[in-house]
Amino acid sequence: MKKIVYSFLTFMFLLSACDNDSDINKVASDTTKKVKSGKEAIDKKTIKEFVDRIPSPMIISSIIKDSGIDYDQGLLNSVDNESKYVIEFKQALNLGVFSTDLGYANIYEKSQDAINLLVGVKDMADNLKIGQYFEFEKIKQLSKSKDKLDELLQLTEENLININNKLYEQDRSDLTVLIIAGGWIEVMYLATQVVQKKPNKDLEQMIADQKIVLEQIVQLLDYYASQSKMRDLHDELVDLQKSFEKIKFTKSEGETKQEEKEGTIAVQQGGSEQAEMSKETLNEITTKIAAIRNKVIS
Amino acid sequence: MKNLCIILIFMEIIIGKSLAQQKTTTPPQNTKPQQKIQTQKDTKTQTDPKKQTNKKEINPRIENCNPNAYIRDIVEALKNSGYKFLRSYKLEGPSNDPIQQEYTFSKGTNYLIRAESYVGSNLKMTLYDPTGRVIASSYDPDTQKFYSSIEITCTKTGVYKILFEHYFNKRNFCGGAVISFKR
Repeated sequence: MKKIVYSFLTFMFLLSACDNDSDINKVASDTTKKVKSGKEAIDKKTIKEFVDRIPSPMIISSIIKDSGIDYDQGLLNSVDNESKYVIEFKQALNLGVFSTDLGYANIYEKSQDAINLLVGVKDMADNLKIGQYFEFEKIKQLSKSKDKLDELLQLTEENLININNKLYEQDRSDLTVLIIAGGWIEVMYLATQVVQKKPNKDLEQMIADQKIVLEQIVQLLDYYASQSKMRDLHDELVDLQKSFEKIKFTKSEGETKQEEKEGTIAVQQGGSEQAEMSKETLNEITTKIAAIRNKVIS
Repeated sequence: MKNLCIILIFMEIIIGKSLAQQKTTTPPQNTKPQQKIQTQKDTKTQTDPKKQTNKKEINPRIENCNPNAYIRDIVEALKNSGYKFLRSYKLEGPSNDPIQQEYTFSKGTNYLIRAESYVGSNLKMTLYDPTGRVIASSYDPDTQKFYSSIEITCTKTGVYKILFEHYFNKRNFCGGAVISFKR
């Protein structure tokens, strides 16, 4: 009994003593937080929710392929450029760029290019000290098998989610935002370049619809506007938004129907939404995206 | 302060050990349940989810839950369906706390949201459009049937919400969900 009482007292004392230490840490942490802007101090959960909404660049890469447009290696960022990326800002952005390029090469089943790009992804992740969460060898093996595209896409996506989760845990969500921004800029670059070479209505519509995603990325970057490089990127994307404002969207309402089809609930959404984008606006978006992307990869 | 802390922790461990020894020499009445809980915890700490090969766990308890196995099953089922993997979600946590996910769907794209869970989980998925209107549910109240997937032909680009909840089931969530797409 004595031992239990003694143990309890020791435990309580220990708790209070360690609490004092944590208070010291808390004060230090609060001091660090004060350096950040109010917006930046927004909780991690909110940022994660924002990030989770952003669609994978894979859909646009898939449309490019389904449109019958040939694979163009010349559009991709070269892994030789990676030595230029010495600061975290550039490393995170180009981790996003290489990831999108990797997805594009995978969709077209260009395994050698995919493996080269995988090195770029791995190196960027290593530089950011998150490389251990990227299953490089496993992805490399899957890239070599043409019948394992689904597994490859799943593993790549899960690895990126893992990386993002680790960055949240480490209080480095700004890097997650940059990875996403880099990936989106790259896929927009691919889409606009392709559509200029071979006009395609589906792809043009998809580019126009990216207005929503652009808004989400701008909002995310806005949280980190106290960091000068983040603010610069934010401002460039805000300028791009001005071009997207010229696109006219016509919406119509309709009845949504739901039915059972082979054990699945099939929904035919009612109504529609049509984007009208002039050639001038498309050219303007193409030019601005190319300029932003070139700055990112240089 | 740190040194004092370390010394006290050390003392705590020694006292804890002696108490544990005392416990094992005098078996209390409820030894069995305690041992059972301990075994479950040990199993969890020794198991690496990535290395697990068993396909499905029907035990809904968090200790044994393996959402990755459900996700792998769904991905396997997607093969040759024409759908490509987009995003996966682990469905874990207390039953009274519905799981909400949001994703930006694009016009002109078909999405398949598929969820797998343990037998009798009564897992219900509800899909909301960007205006917050319910556009699909995986539960049919007329037939009282639960469906494992919702397929939507999207006509409006925007942020869609997917809500996963247990219908008359108070056990914890344990499952996986995958969003896939085709054009």
